[in-house]
Parts: sequence; C-alpha cells; structure tokens
Amino acid sequence: MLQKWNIRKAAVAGFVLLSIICGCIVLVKNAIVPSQNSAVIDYQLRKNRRIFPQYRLKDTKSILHASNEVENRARLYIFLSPWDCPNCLRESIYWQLLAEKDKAVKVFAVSKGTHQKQLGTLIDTYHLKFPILIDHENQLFDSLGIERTPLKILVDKQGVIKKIDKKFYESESDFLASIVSHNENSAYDQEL
Amino acid sequence: MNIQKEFMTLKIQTKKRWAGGIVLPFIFLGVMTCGEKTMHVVDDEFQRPIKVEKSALANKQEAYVPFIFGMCADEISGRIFVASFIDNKIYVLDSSLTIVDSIGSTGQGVGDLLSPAFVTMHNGNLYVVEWGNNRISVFSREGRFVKTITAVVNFRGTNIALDSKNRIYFLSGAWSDSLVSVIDNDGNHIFSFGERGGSAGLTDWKSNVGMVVVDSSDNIFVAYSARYAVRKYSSNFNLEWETDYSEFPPFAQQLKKNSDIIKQGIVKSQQIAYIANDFGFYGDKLYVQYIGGGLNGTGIYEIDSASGQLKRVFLLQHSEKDRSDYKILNFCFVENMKFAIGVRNKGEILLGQLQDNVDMPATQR
Repeated sequence: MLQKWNIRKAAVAGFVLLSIICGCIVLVKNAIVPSQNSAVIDYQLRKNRRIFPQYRLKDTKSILHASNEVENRARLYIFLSPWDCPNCLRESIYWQLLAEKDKAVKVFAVSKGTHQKQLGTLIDTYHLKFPILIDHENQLFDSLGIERTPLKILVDKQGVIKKIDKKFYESESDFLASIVSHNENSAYDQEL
Repeated sequence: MNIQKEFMTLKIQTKKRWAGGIVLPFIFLGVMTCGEKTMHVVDDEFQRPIKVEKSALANKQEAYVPFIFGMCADEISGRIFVASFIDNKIYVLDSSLTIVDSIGSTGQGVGDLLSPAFVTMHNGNLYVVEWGNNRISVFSREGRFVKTITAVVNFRGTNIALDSKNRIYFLSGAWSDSLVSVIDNDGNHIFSFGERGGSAGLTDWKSNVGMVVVDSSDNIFVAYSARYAVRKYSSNFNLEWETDYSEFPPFAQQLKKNSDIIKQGIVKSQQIAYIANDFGFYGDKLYVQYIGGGLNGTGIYEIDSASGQLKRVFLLQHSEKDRSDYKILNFCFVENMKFAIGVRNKGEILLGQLQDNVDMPATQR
C-alpha cells in the first residue's frame, strides 16, 4: 500500500515537473523568441489585408524596428529580393530620392533571401539611407502573400494600406508622382 | 460481484488517468520539440551530387562579386567572365578563382557598362547584355572594346545566344508576337519565330520564359521557367520537341508542395521553384539551372538534347543547415563535368564537379 502511494506521489511529482517544463517552453516560444527578430503577424488583420501587419524586424545594422515606431507619418514599405530581382536593384535609386525629398513618407525596405554582405554592397553602391529590414523567415512576405518584387505598399498614419504597387518604374519622376498622388488619395485601389 | 466489477472498472479508469497523466506531457513535450523539423525526402534514383571543390570566398581570395547575373568561360584562355549587375563591370577570374582583371566601367559611353546582366563568349568575343543601356557591348577576350549593338528591341529580361552565322537570338518579350527574335550582328532584325502557345498544355509561353541557347549545329533551345519545360527548334526553326518535366520527381514534388501551400491560402515565397536562369551545353547534353525552393535545394539538370529526355539532376552538395542558403543562378563549364557556379544571393563563386557515378548521400535525399 505504501509502495503504491509512493509510486503515485512520484507520478504526481513527475507530472508537475513536466508541466512546468512544458510551460516554460511555451513561454520561451511565444514570448521571448518573437521579441528578437521575427515578425509578429496578426493573421486576423492579414485576412482582410487592409491593415498592415504588425512586425518586429531587425535592419542590416541590427537595429530593431517595430510597426508602431512611426507616428504621424505615412510609411512606404518596399519589398525586395535583390538577389533575383534586377528591377529592385535598378529602382532602389528612386527609393532613396523619395526618402530624401518626401518627409511625409517614411521609407522602409524589407528584404528576403539576400546575404548580409550583398545588402551592404547595395547600400554602399546606391548610398541608401533608409533602413532595410531583414525578413529572415519570410514572415512578412508570406503573411502578405508577396511573390514578386519589387512591390511597394503605402500605409497611412493609422496603419491602413492605401496602395499596393507592383509596377516597376523606369524614371524617377514616374515613381515619385505615383507615391505622392496616392499619399493624397485615401482610396484602397488594389488587391494583392 | 457488482461491487467487485465497479471496483475493477474504477481501478482501470484510475490506471488510465495516471497513465494519461504521465504519458501526455511526454507526448506534448515531443510535439513541442519536434514540431518544426522538416523532412527532406526525395526518392529519386536520378539524383547526383555536385561536389564543391573550391570556393572563392572560403579561400579568402577576395573574389566576391556582388550580384552575379551572368557568367561564361573562355575555353582557350581558361578564364571565367562574371557580370556584376551593380558594379557595372565584368570580373575576369582565372581557373583558381582569383580575380585577375575586370572589363568596363560605369557609364553610358562607348565601352562603358550599365547593369550588365548576361555574358556569353562567341568566336573569341565577349558579348555583354546591358539592362541599363539596353544594348549589347562586345569586347575581345583580352577586354578590348570591339563594338556596341543596338536595336529597336528591349534587351531587358532576356539573355542572348549566337549561331554559327553570328546571328543573335533573344527572347522577344513584348516586342514581338513570336517567342524568339533574331537580329544580325549589327542589330538589324532578321526574323522572329516560335508559337507562344504550347503543345503540351503549356498555354502561355509569353511570360516566364527563361532562356534561349543555340548549340554548335544551330539548334535552338528555349526554357520555360515556371513550368519546368524546354523546347527544341531545329536550325530551320521547326519545333522538334517540347518536354514538360513537371512529372519528374523533384519537380513534381515541389509543384505538389506549392499546390498544397496555395490550398492552405498562404503563399510561401520561398517555396516557389523555377528553372533556367542559366542554360548551357557540354557535348550533346543540355544543362539547365533550377531552384527547387526550400525542399530540393538548388542544382542543375541534364537533358539529352536529341530526345529531350531528362538524364540526371545534380544537386549542390552542402550541409542541411545551408541547404537554402546557396542558390545557384549561374554556371558555366570550364572543362568536362567541372564548372564554375555563381551563387547570386551570396556573391560567391564556386568551382564544382558533377559527380555522375556517385549517389546522393542519404542525408540529402
């Protein structure tokens, strides 16, 4: 009888211990890991695709950026995959011009699949000053269903997506005109 | 009797509860720790490894070439020419992968380069397709400027191939209703050929066309990148075969995975596979580059040029950890079964060997 009781006590203790371990693992997975360098995607918002997903991503200088860091300014997110996208490389000069000229829009690039050294060369070659966020696990790309690059998403002060632009621009004036016109116009005119 | 029965039932239920209490956390723990493991299972007798013999970066030779978009080898000098899209020059490497020279400088003038995206060697001359200047610049193998070729066409998004008469073939894009267009060596349009519609259920050859290549007998091959298909046209421009390799195990598996992902409503950008960023001949075999997304890694497949039959799939052999980190986008043969590889996402050049008689290691199947 005593032996049975001890076995039960041991089993209870084992169960409690394992539960604590499991709980710790869950905490680590859900709380600590996303706070480092992965996008926290709000799938409910993603479904209607009107609100830009929340994220926490590091840039090429390892500075952590979050979706709520910019207040009272529109944001332009440029999704690029420069290793297989020559248009991304060619258009990046215009992105820098926009970042310099239009202070009403904060420019971010979001990169996937390209080695850090290559991004460094891209930044140096075209003197890019805006942050390039590294979507290491393609979470932001995947949550928005982005297949082809370059793709630009203009987001207003409230985080509402105003324009999704898949076009490649051959000239600086066309690109700047496109962004400015849609920054003034609140129409959500394109589906992904 | 009833009491005994009830007691027995209680005992069994109690045992089950205890057993459940002990086993379930283990199962939970197992799921937590093993849930994200990805199986790489490709059961394919045709697969062979590509052995990497040398890496320019690993050897600290500073042979880093940013954004490699094209490469070719000169059989006579043994040198390798590599186009850097953003450095606006062609790097010249010797057979040990050391950079020994460069051709061109940034600009729009004669002999300058802007966004060189493709290079090929033909009759001792180096042909460079420039996206930035929308023209072809021609240099000697020593790097001396020869001429520029301009035409009323858009060279962006296409490679070029030359035949024995020095005619230049390129993918027509929006410029013509035909698939392939041909100009002479001064840029004058000669003719266009090839139906956009496919006979093997491939209805749209207009978009996603990969590359064009011409063999020593002036047969023309066109790769269709999104559907793993290749066409062969004879030197008389008649369609000889069109083969869809989608059913071949690595590609079929990738397509199925893509389809499953799309059904789930989430497009995984890394999973989209495609072929034919580069295309080349060695002997009577045609070699086509492919990227298999996250599943099958990256490699080159070998086709019998006479029949279109797929012979082998060569996969870049590297560790499981780095599997998705090396993306072959360009390659060129330097000698039999040996070739230079351009890893565009890393700016790295490798010297590899196709290992025809070696099975893939079990861990990479």
